[in-house]
Amino acid sequence: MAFTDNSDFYIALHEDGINTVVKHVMRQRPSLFNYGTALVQAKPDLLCEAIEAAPGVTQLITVQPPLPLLGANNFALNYCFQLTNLDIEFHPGNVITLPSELNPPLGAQHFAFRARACGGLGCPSKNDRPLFDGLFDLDRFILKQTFSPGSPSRSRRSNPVAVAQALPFSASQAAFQGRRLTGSGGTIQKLVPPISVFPPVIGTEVVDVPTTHVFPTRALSCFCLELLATGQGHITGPGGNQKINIELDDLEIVDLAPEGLENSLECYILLVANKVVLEQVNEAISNTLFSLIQLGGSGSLKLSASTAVPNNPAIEENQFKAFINLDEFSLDIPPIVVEEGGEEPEITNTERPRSSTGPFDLTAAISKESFIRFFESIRDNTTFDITVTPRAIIGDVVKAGARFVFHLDNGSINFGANNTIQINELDIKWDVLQVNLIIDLPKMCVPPFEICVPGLGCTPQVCVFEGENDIPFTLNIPAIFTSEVSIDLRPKVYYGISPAGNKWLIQLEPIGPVDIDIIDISDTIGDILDNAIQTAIDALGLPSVVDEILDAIIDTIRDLLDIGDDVQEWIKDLVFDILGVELGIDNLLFKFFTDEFKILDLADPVEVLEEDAPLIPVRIPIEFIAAKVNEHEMIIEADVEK
Amino acid sequence: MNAKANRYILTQASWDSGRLTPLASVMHRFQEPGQYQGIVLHGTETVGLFDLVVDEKSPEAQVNIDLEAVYQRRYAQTGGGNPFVVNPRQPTAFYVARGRGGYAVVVYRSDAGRRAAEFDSRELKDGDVFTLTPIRRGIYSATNKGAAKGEIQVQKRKGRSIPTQPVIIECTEKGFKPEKAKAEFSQPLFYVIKTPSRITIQLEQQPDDEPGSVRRRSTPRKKEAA
Repeated sequence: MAFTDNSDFYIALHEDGINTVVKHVMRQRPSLFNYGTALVQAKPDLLCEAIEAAPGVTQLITVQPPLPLLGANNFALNYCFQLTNLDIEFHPGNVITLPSELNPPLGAQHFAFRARACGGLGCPSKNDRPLFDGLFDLDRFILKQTFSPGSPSRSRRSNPVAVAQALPFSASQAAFQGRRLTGSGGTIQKLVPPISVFPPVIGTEVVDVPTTHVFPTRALSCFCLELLATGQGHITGPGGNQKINIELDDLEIVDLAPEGLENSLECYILLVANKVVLEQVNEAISNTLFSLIQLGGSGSLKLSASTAVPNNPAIEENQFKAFINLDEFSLDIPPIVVEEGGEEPEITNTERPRSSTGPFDLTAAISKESFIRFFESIRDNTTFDITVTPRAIIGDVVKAGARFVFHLDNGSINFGANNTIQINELDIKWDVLQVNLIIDLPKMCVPPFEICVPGLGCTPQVCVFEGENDIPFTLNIPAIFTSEVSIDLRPKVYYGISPAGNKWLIQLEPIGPVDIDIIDISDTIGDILDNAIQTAIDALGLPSVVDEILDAIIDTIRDLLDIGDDVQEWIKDLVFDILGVELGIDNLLFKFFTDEFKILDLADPVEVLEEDAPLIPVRIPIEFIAAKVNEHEMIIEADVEK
Repeated sequence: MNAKANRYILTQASWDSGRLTPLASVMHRFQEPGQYQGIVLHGTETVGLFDLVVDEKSPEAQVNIDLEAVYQRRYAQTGGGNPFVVNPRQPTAFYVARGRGGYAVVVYRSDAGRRAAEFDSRELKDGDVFTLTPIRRGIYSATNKGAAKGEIQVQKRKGRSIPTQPVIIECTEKGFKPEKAKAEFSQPLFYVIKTPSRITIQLEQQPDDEPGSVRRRSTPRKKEAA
């Protein structure tokens, strides 16, 4: 049974792979999972759980405002919140132990989610509280300093010196919130409290809200909770308007008391997860997957979830599986011109064996029919251009060069059981078939050799042509060749090592020689050759009265080119053998399949989150990739590096 | 295209042994060893000089002097230049390799000044030879000093064979012998001088099928060959 029996594409993510990726993200972008105040950022040893960060990470947490004291807006506490362990598991579920509240075992087509959440609060201890009583008193005193009606307008401001002196700690240790202004002298700092959001007490009077004081702390009071949840996923809606819906069914906070508190928190978290977090996730996935996907100006494709399978997505066999159909596909690429030569990139292709065992972290498949659609689109947009630079083909007297332009058409594609893709009888349709010949005419003298009479002497020779005489002529052969090519391909995976960065490559490589069959060359080629030679001779501008000289030139050209009676055979030999066009076609087809049909060209490691200074980019290393073909589909398997 | 063709050769239709042009030459044997000086004339103007040494010890080989090349050099080969050296038993041939020509050549003994010419191509003497290799088919008339008359018929080459023997015509007091001669394309004519001569040759009649004749196909076809 093939993966793509009921869809064009198939993709399956193993829970181990997902969990490995999450661990990579947690190490490289810990600030997504760890939150706290500025004090915690400055003193990471205050965190409840140490963060294991990747080299280069400088920002461990996302800084949040301190936790305000309810009813006393100008007082706040330091805190931290951390998600330390995240695991997901797909049915059948044999790693995460579900509590009874979640009705174990994990149901079919369900996933389980486990997280450890830790929090810490910087609340002053019993011993430290008296030290802060003065601060509360000072604050209440400041608040009482308002003007009664009728008094002259004045505003009162906090006396920073008084506030600082009221505190057992220096002013710099207290986190004042507000603006500090340097005085005109440049040395005196005046504390300018923020403008109050409250309306003025009298007329234009402004009551300034005092700064927020955050209690310093030597340690946070930490606690950790374990969260467990189960959920499932569906694709809803008719074709063309489908949406994915992943949601949590139930959530359990382990061992939280009293029960009412636990239930309330669970309800709250479930609502946030389903209606806020997952809502956005589902929207993002649906928009990406099920709307028209533009291929960067090169075309578009439209996908839909297959409805021919009982469950889509299917959460089973420890994997999250999706079955996708290709509804529309158009390729609008500029003409591809495959030419010989070009600078070869500095990349060393190596082969990497698999070091892991067990199921792959990712399995993907493309059906044979879909592959054929892609192939036909690229084939129809590709032109092959071979330029053979002039080279000596007969000593130094005859040079030949050529230009051939062709495209491919028709042909049949089959996936073989032996990991091969067979392309048979692909027509080569010639667009330009031009051979350029340069004949270096030898000396032609009159008489052809010295003629002597004993006792009288010998005639000196006078030459019609002497020295280097290049006579060029071009054969524009009408595109009436009929050629076919058959080729077997095999998907080949390489790990490319390059100074510019390593990458995984999957390309189609020809197996064995490319079989080119030249079917027919019209016999009008003889006339074409005659005309070309005549044109070249006419270009010499020689008077036609001396036919013998011109005939001698023609004879010389024929002799030099070694044109026998069979002009068609001569052309075939010249074009495909002597000029190496057959080899050129081989090379171009090889290049075509390896470059244009690069199934995968993936940088390693794969960047999944961009750099956002000071946040480093998040990159996932890929340990292994394999590709193979069977009669139904092409399968790609991959492992993430642990 | 880089083809340098000596086009004048192909269009020439008349020759004069006293005004040498391509395809024609005069040959003379300098029998007395010694130093000679040659003058190349175009009309009455001296356009080139050369030195000639007749040396019994020099190789037994004909020396060919291209008058066009001498004209191109335009200076005397005396006092340090390379003279032509010829054996007294071998002829010296004067010819024009390229260009329009029209040269005459006069050779003096160096030690005799220019009082008496040893050789003057404007009047050939007994023992000299005038050669011509016509390449245009047709009927040519030959005259000697405007008196003796002859006819040469130049025909197409038979097949692809190249003639290896010239046609020899004697110039005597009584005229050309034979009066009428036939030659093939690029077959030389040797006029052996027996009496003071100046020979002129003119193409009088071209074949009926020129110009615009159908040239044969350059490439035979398989079917034709079969």
